[in-house]
Amino acid sequence: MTEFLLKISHLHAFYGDLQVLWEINVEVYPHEVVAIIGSNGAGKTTLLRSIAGLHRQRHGSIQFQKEEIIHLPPHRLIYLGLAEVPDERGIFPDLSVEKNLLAGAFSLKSAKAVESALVWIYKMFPILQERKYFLARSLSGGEQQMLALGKGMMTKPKLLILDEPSSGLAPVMVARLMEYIKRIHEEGTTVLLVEQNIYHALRIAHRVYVMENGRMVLEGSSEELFRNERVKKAYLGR
Amino acid sequence: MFLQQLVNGLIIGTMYSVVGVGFTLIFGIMRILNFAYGEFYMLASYGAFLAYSELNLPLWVVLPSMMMVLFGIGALTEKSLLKPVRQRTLDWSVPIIMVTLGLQIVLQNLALIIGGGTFRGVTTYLKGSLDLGWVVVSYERLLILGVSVILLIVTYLLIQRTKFGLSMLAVSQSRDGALLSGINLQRVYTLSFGLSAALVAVPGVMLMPLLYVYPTVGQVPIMKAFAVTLLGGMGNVEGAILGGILLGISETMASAYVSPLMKDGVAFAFMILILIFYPAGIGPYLQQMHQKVVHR
Repeated sequence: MTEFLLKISHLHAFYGDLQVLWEINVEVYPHEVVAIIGSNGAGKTTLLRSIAGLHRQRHGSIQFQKEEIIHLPPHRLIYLGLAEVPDERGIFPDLSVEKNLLAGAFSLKSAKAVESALVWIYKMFPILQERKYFLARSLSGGEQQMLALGKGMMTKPKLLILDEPSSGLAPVMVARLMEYIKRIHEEGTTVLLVEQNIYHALRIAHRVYVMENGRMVLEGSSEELFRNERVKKAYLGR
Repeated sequence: MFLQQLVNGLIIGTMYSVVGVGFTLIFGIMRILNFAYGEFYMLASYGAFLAYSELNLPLWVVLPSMMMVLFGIGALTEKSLLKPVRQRTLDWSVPIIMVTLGLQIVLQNLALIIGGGTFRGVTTYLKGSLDLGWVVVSYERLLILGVSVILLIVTYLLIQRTKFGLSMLAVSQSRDGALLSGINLQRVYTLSFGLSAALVAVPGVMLMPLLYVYPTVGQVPIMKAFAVTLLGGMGNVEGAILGGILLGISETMASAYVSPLMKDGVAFAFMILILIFYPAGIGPYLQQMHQKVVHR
């Protein structure tokens, strides 16, 4: 077995006295697309915020490339190659598209690296180049999600974590978004995403975790889960 | 007469802009009101008084050194008094506002004990005036105008064109987005607090001949800061620049055409009137106009 990129073990998370995550174990290997699915309130967003350190009331172990990162402040992660697009997309509404992308490249030291990242992202998302002087808030929901992806990819991270990228998008936009995520994966970035849309998650991901009430209840390859009776009943309505 | 008042108002207004920019910056970035802001002004004023009239240092030395001293005081305040509060609770806005309110009182009392309650000051930094025929401007006011215009331009470029400026803008709009991009929030908070104090040090030095300096002199700039910030839109730098100029002109006009006693009253009534029609301040409308110009 190859070395894991991200390994979460025995993770528990709390809001004050209220425990919301129990004994979470997740592994992500290089060049995978892994999805975490589950209904509203299952704790998916809390899990992603716990990984990034945005939610700090948690204990257990989170290893990224064998390095323990649970005690690191959130702003250090991107320097290690871990980027996350949070549930509110993490874009800056009153900055132009281009400045959003430049902020995404904040961790890059040289101006040359920033410039070539910008060229690369504009090639991947031509719409962002067309809109580069527009304020992020004036973009459509789909374009804003493109911007969030572009901003997250500016440093060409090893792992990109996405919190429900499809939320609030029209079906045709969701399909395009999934194409972009595939494209990002083909560029060599490993993807961990949370999805409520089970069909999309099963189609795009190699492996899937199912979360219920703050616990992982199932794990397997997409094909396995697609045939799983419990998943069929609970999520696919068949 | 009217032109003369307009010019006077414009000049004092640019200083109010500086006062407003430093205040609104901290609101934009940290979502707090810094009640000790006027006391940063007061410290710079006392410092300028000591350096200029006791140590006989020239103004071109006094001004930058007061900016540096206040940058240090501001950054140190953030790091030693506000950061510990932030680390203990996620809901830190109100406790931090109360800390700054406490600091305001403490600094006023310290100034009273150390310096006494007397008004101090210098009559003028520069003598003489420029007579253009239609308007007479003292060299001192020209200096005030020059200093504030340069400072506003430099601050604007710092925010819009530098990496540190980008990190301030990012933090003011999405803390999570900034953190995940690798921006160190603590550092941005500390440096912005220093920057804000360094900005208000400039009116602290430059307006000392006009307002004198005494332990509670900070009440004057903080009231202006509130007015300018509300007028410009909370956290809006362009709005604060225009708001300061509007406040300066309306004050001067009120003083000339209504009564010097009604100076603040009329100016603030004008501010209330604008807020009734533009509750978010004029800043957001400036931005919309800017967008329209850019995308035409």
